[in-house]
Amino acid sequence: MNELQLFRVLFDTYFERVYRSTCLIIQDESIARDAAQEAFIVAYEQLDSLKDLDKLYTWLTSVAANRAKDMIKKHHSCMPAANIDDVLAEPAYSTVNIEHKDMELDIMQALHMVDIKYREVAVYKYYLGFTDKEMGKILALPSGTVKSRLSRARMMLKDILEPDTESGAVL
Amino acid sequence: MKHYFDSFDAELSQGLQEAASRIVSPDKDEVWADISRKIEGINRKEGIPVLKKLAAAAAVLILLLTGVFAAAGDYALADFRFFKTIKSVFSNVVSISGVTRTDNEVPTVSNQNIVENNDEKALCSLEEARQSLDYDIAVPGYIPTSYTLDRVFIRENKNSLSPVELHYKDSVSGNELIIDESPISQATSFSYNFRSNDAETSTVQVSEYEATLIYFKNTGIRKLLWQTQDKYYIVSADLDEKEIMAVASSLDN
Repeated sequence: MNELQLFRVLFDTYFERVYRSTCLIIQDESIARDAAQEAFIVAYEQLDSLKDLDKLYTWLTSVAANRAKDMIKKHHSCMPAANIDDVLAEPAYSTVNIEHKDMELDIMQALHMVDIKYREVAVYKYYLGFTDKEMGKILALPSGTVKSRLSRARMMLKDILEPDTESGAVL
Repeated sequence: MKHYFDSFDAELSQGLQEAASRIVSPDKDEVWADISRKIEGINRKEGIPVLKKLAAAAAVLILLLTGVFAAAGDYALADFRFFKTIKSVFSNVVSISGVTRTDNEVPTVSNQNIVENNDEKALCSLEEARQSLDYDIAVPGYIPTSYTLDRVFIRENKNSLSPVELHYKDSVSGNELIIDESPISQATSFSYNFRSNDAETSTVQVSEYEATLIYFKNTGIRKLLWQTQDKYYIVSADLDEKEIMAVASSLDN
């Protein structure tokens, strides 16, 4: 087995999950594909310098999400007076291909409605199962900020998905 | 800050898992074709050392497989003549890689000819192995009393310089002692990877040669790896250090 074949095994193992998590965060299939692809190329280039190989998957996911955000910024950079934070707060365009199943559509719609910074922590926590510490590392945020962001993301999603219950979130 | 984990969290998690599973992933072969094209470009441009990358990738695979020990990255590099062992540590993963090569430079992708190793083994008697191989098979002058030669394999049975394995069996416990001999003139390579918290490594001396002794704490297996001027040896057995060293030192190199 040569090194490309070995790397192909890593790719086969992780690609779908990295792509899907990026899709959930960015809500754009094309950007998610390019970003996930780039994450694997970066991984190949830096593989031997990574300190925590058992965190490769966490690392790949965060690289893909960050690349995707950069791509969105670039995509909108020609727009006059565009506030990048506003652009990122707006989901790009939802072309995610899912079956029209009520609960899932609700979750996808709910995700679509919240700011990307909340969407990101929600996906990390509830889809990928990352710990607060891992999220803090990925997002370069103190643990308190991660916790409050996650708490707010949860409240907002609950307000959207279960509007009859009181969570206290203000959108 | 309140830490939540209630039925809503569980539903959210499950809903996201289900929604994500319905996101249609792009054709992996197509994405891989793009990635491998770019990687080849990077390798051509930068000449990234293969062994380092290979060992790192293999180490990740071992983590994926969560095995204590595995051999990975077997491939043959044609036209390389000198054996080099590289011991690397990535996080808590130790990778011991060996490759035959032409000089002190680590081979790069652009100058190597990779031939797949199909890992086939042919069972034969010691006499048959001696007749079909063009090198002297070293046999130990000492083996623990309850062990007897059980089987002999010619590995990658392609030519008269193929590696040979001598399997000795303990009649009491059924444990095996395996002596693996690979002539250096035969192009070969390997990579052994394991977690450092599951195994201990030390440098020892087999006759005048430096050797690496690996002790796998979970299984009690010891592996001793060393090279002489013309062969690469690996002795594996559930034996204490003194006994495995005695077996290795008694090989009639």
